[in-house]
Amino acid sequence: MHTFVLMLLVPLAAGLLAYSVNRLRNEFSFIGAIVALYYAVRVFIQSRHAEVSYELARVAGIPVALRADAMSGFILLCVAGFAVLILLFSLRYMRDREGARGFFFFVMLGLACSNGVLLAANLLVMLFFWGALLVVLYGLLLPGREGSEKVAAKALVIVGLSDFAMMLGIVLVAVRYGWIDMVPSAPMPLQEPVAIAGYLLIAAGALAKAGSMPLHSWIPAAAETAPASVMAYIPASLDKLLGIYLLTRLSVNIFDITSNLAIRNTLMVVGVVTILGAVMMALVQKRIMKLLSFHAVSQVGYMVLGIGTGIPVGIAGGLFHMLNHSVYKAGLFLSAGSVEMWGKTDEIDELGGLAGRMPVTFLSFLIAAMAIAGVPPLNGFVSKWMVYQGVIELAREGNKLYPVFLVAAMLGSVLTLASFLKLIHSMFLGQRPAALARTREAGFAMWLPPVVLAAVCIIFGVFAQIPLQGFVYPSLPFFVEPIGTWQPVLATLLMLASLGIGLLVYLFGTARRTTAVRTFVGGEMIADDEESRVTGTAFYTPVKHLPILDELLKYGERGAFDIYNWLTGALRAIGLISRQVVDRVLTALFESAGAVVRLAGRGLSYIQNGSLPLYAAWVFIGATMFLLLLALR
Amino acid sequence: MDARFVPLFVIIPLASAFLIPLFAKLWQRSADLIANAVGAVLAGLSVYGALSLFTGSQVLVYRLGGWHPSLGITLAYDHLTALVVLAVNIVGLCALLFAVRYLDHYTGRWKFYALFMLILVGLNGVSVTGDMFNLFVFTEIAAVSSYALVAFGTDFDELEAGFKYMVIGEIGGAAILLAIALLYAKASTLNMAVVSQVMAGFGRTPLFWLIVAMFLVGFAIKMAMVPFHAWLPDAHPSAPAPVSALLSGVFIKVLGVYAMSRVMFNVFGLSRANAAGFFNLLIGFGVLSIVAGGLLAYAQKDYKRLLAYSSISQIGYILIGLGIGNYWGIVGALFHILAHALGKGLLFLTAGSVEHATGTRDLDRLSGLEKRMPATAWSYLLGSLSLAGVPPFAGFFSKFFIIVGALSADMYWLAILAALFSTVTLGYLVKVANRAFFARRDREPTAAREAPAVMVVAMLGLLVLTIVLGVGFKPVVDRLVGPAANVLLQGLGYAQGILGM
Repeated sequence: MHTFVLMLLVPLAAGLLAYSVNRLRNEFSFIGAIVALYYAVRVFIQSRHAEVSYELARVAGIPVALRADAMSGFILLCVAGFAVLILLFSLRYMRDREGARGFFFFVMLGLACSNGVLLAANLLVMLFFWGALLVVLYGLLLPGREGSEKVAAKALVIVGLSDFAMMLGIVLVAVRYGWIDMVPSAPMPLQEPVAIAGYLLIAAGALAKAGSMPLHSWIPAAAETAPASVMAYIPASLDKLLGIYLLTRLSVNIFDITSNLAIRNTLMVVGVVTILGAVMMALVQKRIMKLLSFHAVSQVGYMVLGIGTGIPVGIAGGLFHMLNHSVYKAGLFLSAGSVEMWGKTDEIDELGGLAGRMPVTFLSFLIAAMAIAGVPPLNGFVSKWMVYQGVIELAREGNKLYPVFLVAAMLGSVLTLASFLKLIHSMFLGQRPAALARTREAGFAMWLPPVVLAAVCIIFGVFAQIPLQGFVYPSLPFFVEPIGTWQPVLATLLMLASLGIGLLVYLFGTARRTTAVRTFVGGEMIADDEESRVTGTAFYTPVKHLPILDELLKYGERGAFDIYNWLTGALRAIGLISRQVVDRVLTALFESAGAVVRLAGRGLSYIQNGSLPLYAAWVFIGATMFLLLLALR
Repeated sequence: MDARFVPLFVIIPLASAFLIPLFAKLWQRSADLIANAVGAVLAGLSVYGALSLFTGSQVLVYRLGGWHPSLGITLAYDHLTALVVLAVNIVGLCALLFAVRYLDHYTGRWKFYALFMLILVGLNGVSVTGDMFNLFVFTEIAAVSSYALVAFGTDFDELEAGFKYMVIGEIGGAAILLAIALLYAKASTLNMAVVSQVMAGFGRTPLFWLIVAMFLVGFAIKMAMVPFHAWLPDAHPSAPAPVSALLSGVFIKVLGVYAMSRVMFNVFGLSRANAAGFFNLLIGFGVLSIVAGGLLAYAQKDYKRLLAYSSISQIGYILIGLGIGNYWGIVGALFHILAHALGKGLLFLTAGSVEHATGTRDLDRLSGLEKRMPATAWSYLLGSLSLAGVPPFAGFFSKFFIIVGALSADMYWLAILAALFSTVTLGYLVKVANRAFFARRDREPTAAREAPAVMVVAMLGLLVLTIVLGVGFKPVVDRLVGPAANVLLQGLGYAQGILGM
């Protein structure tokens, strides 16, 4: 069988096997993922320079074909890699949880479907696999804490809505231009209304998958109920990879986004609003997973902003940020999962002082947190830097909005750092609550994946040329100028040097000789115990009291910006109106008709049982309508 | 190709409908055996019939008694018939299998099977017949037995629902009969092929439209198009679950959609080119059905009632597909007949399974059944994803083709509506999944257990077919649905095949 077909079938078979056997279920899915990774590496190498394609069938002139080029090879590799790491973590983490059986099956099904999306040669095939991921989403979100089924339904409806929008967009474009190849020979200009509508509808699907505002609300909700490995798999890595993959394909290969300024500005506004809105929400969260999930939304903003610039370096930055984000966000969710598993909670208030107990987890969390905050020389900095450069390049085109985008993006970065300071303080530093006294480092399978991811954060930052030359640049059909004046290796050396000097100063200077005294407030000695423990939740409460913002946050917390609430609210309102108002009016109308019937036939009066004349009256009215419409024209 | 198998679709269930009571006198459980054997034979026969059309012949004609068409009754078996017969008998087989254990609740097992067989007689008869009056007779056979089966539980609600259904249904029957009478007065024959040739020379007079309107009223009642739908949300939930599956899955489509499209397209020769008004009317009422059915479904608290409203909404999809009137629209509509038959049949079976296990259909009282009944829960979920139009299930392709049809015909708003209400469909179907299966409230229903093996097999059978139809949509579209759409699109050309010209 062709490698492509195997890439679809092997994970599926492994998943089914893992589901149907009772023992060794984790091992089966893990082996399946390893095999998938092996195939991904093979495809990646094969497709680096020349694309490989394989036609399965042809339906009514539409080729059902699979194909890999440099970009899909790159992302296939990422998807399989993350699946392997997350499954490794889950070997222990998911072991005793309810729903573990479904988890391993759906992870593998997700892998198979993602491979399908990435290998699809045209939009129809892509849509087929893309839609199938809905099942995976629902199935993965089902197990978890109380209320998880509501969250799963919410995710299903929101992502389902965007999937149907995407289907509409794809058919719209297809009817006008034919079944569009994922990589046509030349991108189409975005000028005709059909092309623009199609682009927007398909992009809506891609953005909802990636988790951009306003279609983000299921991600924070999922964080409250879903296990950490699900969060690391779906919103942190898989959905970002697929969503941004499609957005890039759409904006670079299929359509030419540079040809329409309005669409670029729209995308950039979406990006900036996502960055800022989500990071503000993140600042005031009280639970680790939820805080991280708002960052998973916020970071999408950078990718959308980068692609929206339409400038080569910006697009490359967006794509690179996608990779980086998956790396550090998966790392963050996984390390937070270890903490949660041992601490039995992810409430920030109830954690603290774990750095000594879980040093490896602490270090990998710290590195990933610095990376997401964009601290040089880590990978998050490099990709954000490229996005900024793209935004700055806009000035050359005379885009008057670029300072707004730039300032907002940088502000978002600062706020990200701020919220992670809070998180690191309250999880790992500060005083340790008594309940956590026996916490210890998680086992090998649980600390290895975060460590690998943290190492990748460093490597991709310090030696940024490796992933850029190896993965990102070959994926794009244009030449990307080298990134500005940033020399990652040199800068790292300088930073290390300055840190070293700082350390020397610390070691030999006066700073080391500190005096520790007991806390003394208002004439009373305060004991170093549970009651006086300082937690991190209140770090940014002032944000809640800023004018205007406080109102917005309040509404945000209540779900006022949640598109799902709008939808279900509208449906409920319509249902209520139709039941209370329309039904009553109709009943009143038909009751008079019923009275006529009652008078007309005595025989009928025996069978008056409430609503039958109503039904009959409807039939007669319908029949009259038919007659009027057809016969008496 | 030999057409001798065609009358068997009527003869076998008709004979068994009368044999079942006889044998049941001797041995109670023989009813189960005979009914399921007949179901299996019919399903096999319908597969055989569909395969026999693959070899290239367009239509198989069987003349009863060897009489010439204008005098005798003709049975015709073309791709459209094959498609509908396939849906009827496969859903029928699964429902019969399900009934074996489900009927433990009821008395009068053989009465159930005899009536069920009569419904199959009616549905198969309507599908294969080439004669107008024959169509009416079979319609009534199916309808009358379904009235009885809706009231089968003989509780107050069931009797009331059955009664209302009967009254409304017979208004429809009367409308069809009136239309046939008018047609006979005009054409002096009731053989469809001959009538269609007469109609070709018949102007579009008010009388013509009166006949069309009367037929449409009758079929609209049978298919539960809004505003003719009012009987359905009472009738379908009241019936025993296997009957609900058959009624919602295929009954409304054969008596309503299939009969209407056969008469309108092939006998009256209506097409978008020559009768745009009629097609716009289908779209208008289709949209009304989608919207009203979908919104009302969202407001329901009864498992089966919600599914019943959903059927109304899905009939709307079939109607807009037909109303779009181009190749892809009709392919979408016909594919949806298959997809919805499998999907809704499956969902009603899961409802039966839940009712069997817990004794209630009230979504407020059900919860957390997934732990106890995983097969039912996941069959429900995947079936509902299919109905909502999520790949890789069958429902995806029907919605997809309908949207392709709508956009090819530049009906943008229709495509948007179809996509939007797919989300609504998803919303209300998942509501059931959440409430009944996946919610973990404290009140666990006591002693709920997974359905017996035969019931699970019936559900899984439909589920597997849903997936097969989705993944293997290509041969189905190429060999069956596409040619069936062409049968409708050829309009009056239908007569030539039947009369052998």
